[in-house]
Order: sequence, then C-alpha cells, then structure tokens
Amino acid sequence: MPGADVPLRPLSARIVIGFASALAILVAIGIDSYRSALGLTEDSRRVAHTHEVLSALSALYADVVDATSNGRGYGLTRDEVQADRARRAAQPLRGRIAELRQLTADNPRQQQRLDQLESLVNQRLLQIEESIDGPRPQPPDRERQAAATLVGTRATDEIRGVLGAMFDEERALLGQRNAEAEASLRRTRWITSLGCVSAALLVGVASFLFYRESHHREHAEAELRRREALYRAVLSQFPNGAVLLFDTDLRYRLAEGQGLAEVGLSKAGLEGRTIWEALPPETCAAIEPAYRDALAGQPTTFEVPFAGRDFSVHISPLVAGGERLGMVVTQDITERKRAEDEVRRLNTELHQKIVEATSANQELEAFSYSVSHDLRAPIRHINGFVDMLQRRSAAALDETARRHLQTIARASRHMGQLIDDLLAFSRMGRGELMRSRVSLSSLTREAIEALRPELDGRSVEWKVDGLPDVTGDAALLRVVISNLLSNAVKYTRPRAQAVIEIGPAAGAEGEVVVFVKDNGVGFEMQYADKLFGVFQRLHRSDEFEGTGIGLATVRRIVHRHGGRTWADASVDGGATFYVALPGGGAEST
Amino acid sequence: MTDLRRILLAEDNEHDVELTLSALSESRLANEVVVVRDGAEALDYLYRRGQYQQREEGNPVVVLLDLKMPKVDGLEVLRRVKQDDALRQIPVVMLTSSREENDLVESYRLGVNAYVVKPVEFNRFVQAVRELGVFWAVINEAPPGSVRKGP
Repeated sequence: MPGADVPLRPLSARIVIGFASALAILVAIGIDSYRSALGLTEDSRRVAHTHEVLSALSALYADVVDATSNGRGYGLTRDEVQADRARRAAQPLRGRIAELRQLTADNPRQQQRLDQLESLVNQRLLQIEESIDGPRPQPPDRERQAAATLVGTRATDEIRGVLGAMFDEERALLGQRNAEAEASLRRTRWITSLGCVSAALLVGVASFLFYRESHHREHAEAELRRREALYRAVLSQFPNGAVLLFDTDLRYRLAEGQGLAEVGLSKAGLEGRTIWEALPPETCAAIEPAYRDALAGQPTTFEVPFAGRDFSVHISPLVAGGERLGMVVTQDITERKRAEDEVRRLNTELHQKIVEATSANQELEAFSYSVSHDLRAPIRHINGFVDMLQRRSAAALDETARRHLQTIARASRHMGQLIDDLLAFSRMGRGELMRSRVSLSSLTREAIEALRPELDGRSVEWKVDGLPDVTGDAALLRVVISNLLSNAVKYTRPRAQAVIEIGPAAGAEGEVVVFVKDNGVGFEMQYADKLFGVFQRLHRSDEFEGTGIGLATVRRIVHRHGGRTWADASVDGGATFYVALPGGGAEST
Repeated sequence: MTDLRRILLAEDNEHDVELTLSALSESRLANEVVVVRDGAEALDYLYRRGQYQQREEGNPVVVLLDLKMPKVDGLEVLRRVKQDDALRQIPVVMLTSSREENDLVESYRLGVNAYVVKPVEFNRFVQAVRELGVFWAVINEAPPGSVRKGP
C-alpha cells in the first residue's frame, strides 16, 4: 500500500533511557536510605552506650562520695549507722568498675583511666575499711585523725579527677556521635530529596515524550487509515475496469473498480481468495502463466473476452512493503473494439471506394484520351479530302457547292479545336503537380504578350498591380492566367475601350486571392456556376467563338492546387473572376 | 542508286495512306514509297522475309511509322529496329496522331530520329509530310547501311 511511507517512529530510545534512569535513581535512593537507617541505629546505639557509661560513672562517683563521707563521718562520730552506710556504699564499687571496664572495652584510654581509678578506689576503700575496722585510738588521736582525713581527701580528689576525665571523654564522644548522626541524617535527607526530584523530573520528561510519541503514532495511524480509505475510494471508482493485487500464492489481496460488478465479480468474492477459489477453471488456466510471469518480473498485456465483454488486461510486477506482488489492471474495451471495428470497416469501405474511384477515373481518362485521339483521325481525313476536292474539282462546282465545302471544312476545324481542347483538359487531371515558387506577375506579363496577335486593331487598357507570388505548378498556373485573360479580351470585344484589371483581392485566412476584372458584356449571375462546367457556354458561338472548356480547365487546375474559383458579373456590367489559392505553400495535392 | 530514295511508310489507316501519298506526290516522291499496313509487315520488309523475301537488298532511307497499328505497334517496330545492328542506322520518324507525352518520351527513349504529330488541317499536313519526305529522302545524307552493295 502506498501509505507505508507514513513515518511510524519506534518507541523512542530517549523514553526508555528516561524511565530507566528514574528507576535507577529510585533504587539508589532506596539503597542509600537503607544504609542510612542502619547507620542511624548504630549511632543511637552508640549514643545510648555512652549514656550508659555516663550513668555508670555517675553511680560510681555517688558511691565513692557516699562511702567516703560516711567513712569520714564514722571516724568522727563512731556512729555504727554511718559505718554501715559506708560499707554498703563501698560494696558495689568493684562491681561497678568491672561493669565500666566492660562498657568501655573498645576505648583504650578509658581502660587506662579505669586501671588508675580501680587502684585509687581500692586504695580509698582500704583507707575506709581501715578507719572503720582498725583499732580505735581512745580517745581518738586528733593528729592521726587529721592526717588520715588529709590522706582520704586527697585520694577522693584524685578519684574525682579521673572520673572527671572519664566524664569528659564520654561527653566528648557523645557530642561527636550526635554530630555524626545528624550529618548522616542530613546527607540522607539531601540525597532522598534530590533523588526524588530528579526521578520525578525524569519520569515527567519520559512521560511527556511517551505521550508525544503515542500522539504521533496515533496521528500517523489515522493518516494511514485516511490514505488507505482514499486509495480504496479512488480504486473503487476505477472506471470500466478493475485493479487487482495478488501475492505469490496467487491470492487476491485487493480487488477494486467499477468493472468488477459488470462481469459478476465482487470485492468480497476476490479478496482473500486464490484465483482457483475465485474464478472459473478455464479463466484460471488462461491467466495463471501471465500471473506467474508478473511475479517473476515480466509484465504482460493482452486482450481477452470475459463474461461477454472484451477486456484489455495488463499484468505487471509490483513490490510493495518489501513483498513481491502482482498487479492486474483491466479495462473494458468492448466499446473501443466496436468503434475500432467500425473504423476498420469504414476504412476498408473507403479504401474500396478510393480504388473504385481511382480505377473509374483512370478508365475515364483512358476513354477520354482514346476518344480524343481516335476522333482526330476522321477529322483530319475530312479536312484532307475536302481540301483535295477543293483543289482538284473547284472549277467543276457551282457557288453553292463550294460554300457547302467551306462549311464542311469550317465545321471539321471546329471539331478539331474541340478535340484539342478536350485533350488538354484531360491532360490537366493527370500527372503530378510540379510545385515551385511562381510569380503571378511574370505569368501575367507573358500571357498578355501571347495575346498580342488577338489585339490587332483594338484598344485595351491593362491594369496589372500588386500580384503576389504563390506556390504551385507554373505550367498549369500559366494556363489559368492565360485562359482568364483570353476570356476577358474576348468578351470586351464590343467595347471601344476595353479595360482589363488584374490584382490581389481579400480572401479567407491563409488564402491568396487574385481577380481578373473586365468591362465586357458580362453575364447573368444565375448562370455563374455553369460557366465553370465543361462545354458550358452563355453566348452563342456566332457572338463569341469558343469551345466552353477554358473556365472548366481553370477550375480544374485551381482545385488541384487546393483552391477555389468564383465569378461576379452582371449583364453588360463586365465580369470579375476570382481565383483563390492556399497561401504559404500549403496547397493540397 | 534508286534504293537510296526508297521510303517505307507503315500506316494501317487507308485514308491516312492516301493523304500521305497525296502529300508526297506533290514533292514527286510518291513512287519511292513502300506502304505496309501493320508493324509485322514493316518488320517483314526490313528483314526481307515473308512476302518481301524477294525484294531488292538495301534499307529504306527513312521509315515513317504510325504509332497505333494492328499486330505490332509502332513503338515495338521502333524498338526492334534500334536493337538490331543491321537496322539501327535507318532513320525512323514517328508520324502519329498522338500528342501524348508518354508516347513521345518512350519514342525518344527507344531512339527515334523524329516525332511528328499529324496536323489536323490538311494544308499543314501536306506541308509537314512534304518537308519530311524531302528532308529524309533528298537532303539528308543516308547512312552507309542504306547501300548494301559496295560503290
């Protein structure tokens, strides 16, 4: 189908890339979030751990302070309650140190401090136990007591110092861990936001492209459908014939055209079917080789009768959409054939008629020649014997007999003239025209010169002006001019002053017209056409001599040149003869 | 040397024969004329056969030929004469009624020596024939073949 050239774009690679990128970003965000969440858990665990260390340190410190103060109080008061309290406070101290050692196992500096702390605490605890359980000075030795108190206070200060350093360490760790957790959180937030925005943008762009793509596709498909409908519509209107497409299985792919119905076929009956399913077996047998030829690349054209009508069938190869097909175009030529037959028949008839006419014409020419030829002999004989009679027996004849002999001689001379003219006329109709450029002006001058002997004792005024050149047979055209001028001279004989005018006249497009006008006796216009017939005369021969062939000869010659002749006259008003010849050398033969 | 002035006239029409002889007699040439009535007779005469087997030797000084004759027409006689080495030197004059160009052209193609159309008027006919006879029989020097015997 011709619609295959509509661009059907493949799903754009850009769309695929867009969606894939968005997906990749989302996956990356997921992975990052997961890792971030893991990090957060770790961070909070470590923060919690630091808090645990801190609270353990606080508890340790509280116990140390408690034990120290109660120990000191017991030293002063000897109150057993206080001694109890001091023992109770001192009791968990070793446990707490062990706990701290465990908690800060990952921190060598804290371990070191713990070692220091442990020895200080042990030392302090020994001092407290000593002060409680040792022999009591009675009364208490103030000096010793004061010295013991001094030692105890120093040890407690050292413990406080180590604990303080440990607190500071843990607080610093806490601050550091909190900051790390926050930074990680911030990063995750950024990555997630940026990733989401990028993914959203990519999805947006890809969706837009996809939308546009599908819009294009829809548009193209609609265009394709529209074109297909158009082609179908055009083909279905294919006049007086059909267009068929078939594939390599000889299965019709398409069948359209007004001519289908006329021969009892239908689109539905052909499309989708093989020739053997759709057509009569004898038709299949006739067309199959041509179909195969077309598929092989060889077109065929033939004429075939089908369903009572004649068809011209053109089968040609066709490659459409990369597929090898065959196309059949049929045209109903019944009418044309009929017309051609008619033309042929008419031509044959015409040819026959021409042959008949030519043959008749030839017979006529032969007859006319033969008659003229054979008529001359008896005329000559009559002339000859009359003459011999006159020479030898004139003296023996009376006046009347001599006059009769003269009449016989004159009559036979006239007969001789008639025969000569007839021969000349007959000759006009034969032979090829020898065309050349002819000056009518020169022909006229020569013709007037030739007429001189007849002008003896007469007064004739010649008016010759503006005669054109024409294309024609010079010898024949000379006869035309000569005959017309001779006529003019003859029929102006009664005029004291004859005026004969020859010149150009207006004619139809592409014609050269010449007239010959005289002021002679003229004639009645009702007989104008008779003038150009053979032996047609409008005057008695005792008025004007002649054989009545001159104008017939003129007309015949002019007709042979493809021209025409006519005359205009009135009785005693002179006559004008017109000769029209095709101009520009376009004369017919 | 009487043979030198012999004229052969081939003419089928008796009136024409009479008129031609009449015209020739005015030049006192009539006695020298041999008249044959068709082309076959003309050839018999020229080849000395048939009824002319016994005639004297020697060719006529001129042959006057009519075109239209029974049996063998004038053009055929002309053709035969001009193709024959022994006869081709004889002057042949067509004396005919035909003004047809075809006849004229064909005659000259075959080698005719003159072509004369018989005038319709008797005076002119007489004049033409007389001049012909005088020219060919008297004025014109006949070809050597006309005298078969040596001088």
